Amino acid sequence: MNANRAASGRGWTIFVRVSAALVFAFMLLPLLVLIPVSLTSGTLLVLPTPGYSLRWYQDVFHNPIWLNALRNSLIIASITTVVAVALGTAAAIGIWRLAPKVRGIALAVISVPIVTPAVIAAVAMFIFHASVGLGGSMTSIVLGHITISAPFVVIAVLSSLDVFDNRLMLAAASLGAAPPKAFWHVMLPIITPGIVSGAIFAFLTSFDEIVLVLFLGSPSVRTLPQELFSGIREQMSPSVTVIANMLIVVATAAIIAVELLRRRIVVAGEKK
Amino acid sequence: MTFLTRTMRTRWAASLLLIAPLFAFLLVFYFYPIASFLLRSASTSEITNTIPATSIALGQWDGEGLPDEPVYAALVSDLNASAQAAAILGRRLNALEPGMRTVVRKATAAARELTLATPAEAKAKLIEADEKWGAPATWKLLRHETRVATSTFLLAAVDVQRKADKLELKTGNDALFLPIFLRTLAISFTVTLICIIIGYPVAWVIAMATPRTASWLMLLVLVPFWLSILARTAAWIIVLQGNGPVNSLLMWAGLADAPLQLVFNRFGVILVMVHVMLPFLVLPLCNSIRAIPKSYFQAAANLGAPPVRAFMHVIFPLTVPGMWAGGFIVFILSIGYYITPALVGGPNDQMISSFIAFYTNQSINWSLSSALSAWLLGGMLALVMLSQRVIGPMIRRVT
Repeated sequence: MNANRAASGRGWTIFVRVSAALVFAFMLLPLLVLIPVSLTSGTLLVLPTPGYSLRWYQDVFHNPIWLNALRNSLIIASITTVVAVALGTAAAIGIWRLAPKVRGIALAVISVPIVTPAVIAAVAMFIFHASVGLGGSMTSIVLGHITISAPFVVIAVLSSLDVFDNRLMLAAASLGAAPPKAFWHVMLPIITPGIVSGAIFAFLTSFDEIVLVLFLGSPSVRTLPQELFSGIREQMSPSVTVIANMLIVVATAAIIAVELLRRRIVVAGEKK
Repeated sequence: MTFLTRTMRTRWAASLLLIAPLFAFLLVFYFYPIASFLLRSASTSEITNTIPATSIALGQWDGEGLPDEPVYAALVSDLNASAQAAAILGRRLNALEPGMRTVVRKATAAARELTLATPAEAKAKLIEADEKWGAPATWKLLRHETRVATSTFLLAAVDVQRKADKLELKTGNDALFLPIFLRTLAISFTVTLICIIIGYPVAWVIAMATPRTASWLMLLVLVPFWLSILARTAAWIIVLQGNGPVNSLLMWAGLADAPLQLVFNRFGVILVMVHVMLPFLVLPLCNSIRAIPKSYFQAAANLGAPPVRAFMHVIFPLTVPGMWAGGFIVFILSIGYYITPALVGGPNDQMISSFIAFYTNQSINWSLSSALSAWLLGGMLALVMLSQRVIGPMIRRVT
């Protein structure tokens, strides 16, 4: 009886593990197909590929359309990141200092841009920006991207503040440090991992963003996701998979960086 | 005491000062644009701007019979003021009542000859140009659409139209948007259900693993979460296409004789959406499984419950809140989804967001896209409230 029960328990464990493995495969395997396809020597998106070459990578790096889009995306994401980090970090510190009840309300307001359907925000901004003379400009895209990136900065910085011991600030104050000095020398070094994670999230949000760009962009300001979108829609070529592959590599590297930073925050929290 | 309140006050003021820049930014560049866009659904300004004098004159009309001659004169001067405005008026009225474009065009042409005419002449000539200007229904429509606010678009967005002062629900082939709303809900519900079913074992395995393994497994869930949706969609199209690996595998295994249509249809939309949404379910569910004290598992086993029964009666109910939370996020995010249906769906798989985009870009009817947005956001808000008022206490009672 007991052996029977143990066996059925083991059977379930195996079943659950195999199911989970299958789901992990479902999440990750399809992404791997981009690697061989982008390295094909042919012109079709078929597997197995007729042979391997770097021709499509060369093609992308010599094509002014892709290069221009890449340049636009990098500029937009960089400006967005700088502004979102400045606004988001200040707001996170402010929210952290609030009473828990008010903090909840502030956080709810901040998270609205994360859950509101992107299309609604995009259409609303499209009409508003056109009415104030920003229509179709890079500024318009940057303003839009800041609104959806800054909330991620706030959340990331808040999570590093959660493990920050405010007695350190009191100690700094009692030793005669003015608030800005105490912030710079005491708080900032400790919450830096959170700020960097927030910056990475903000950069990725802007760099990969497509819905706002579809409405706020114009033929003269096209970003990488926008070219990718038309590429997928109109003609899937191996160049499209090269770009997709590069976006995946950049994002994966960024997420691993965030994970390593997060572990530093957790370690700091455990030490406390 | 005064010192303490003063420091409390400065602390409070400093906090607000730190929050202010972001909130001000969001207010100006996020909340204000969305609010003014949503108000557009009830606004009549698109029409009143084209015929300002007529709108004012109509405000004094009692709605009985035909309006007085000065109203006709006002319309003549409005139509003469700007040909562009007259064209917009025609387009807007045509959307409400087919045929009005011609009626307005005829009036515009007639008005050109009437710059110096008396109000009586204006009335006679306009009615001569098109008999609809002599029909009370035309003027009632104009009066209705030049009031302070109109419900026309909000009603149209849920397939309700006003016919002879009565509200009528469009059904069958005439129904435009309700089927789309239903389709949006159905797709979102299916995606949520599949995410719960396949996300449960993943969350379970992560929650049960050693902390070291768990953090790596969690990374495997998180990486897809941050990857470009376009890149993932491109990958799926290649995997699912007619000569793609999945079809090759199915045919090799003898499960299909000819390539199956796996993408650019409902199947593709749901599959790719599940791929996008799964991390949102796994994270909260994993947290709620982790929160179960390890002693519960042992207690259930010691009391002789077979593992499956222990799970169903002890463990599973404790994970219900996490499942609700994750499922709720997946559902809410799915309802507003746009990109995946646009790229891997057919014409019959587009969700409500696609129609908001369509009425903004292609068929320029911002009032209608605003009305659709208002219903979508309103519905989401209602769901959030419901989840807090009803689902929250319900979960607490169940667990």
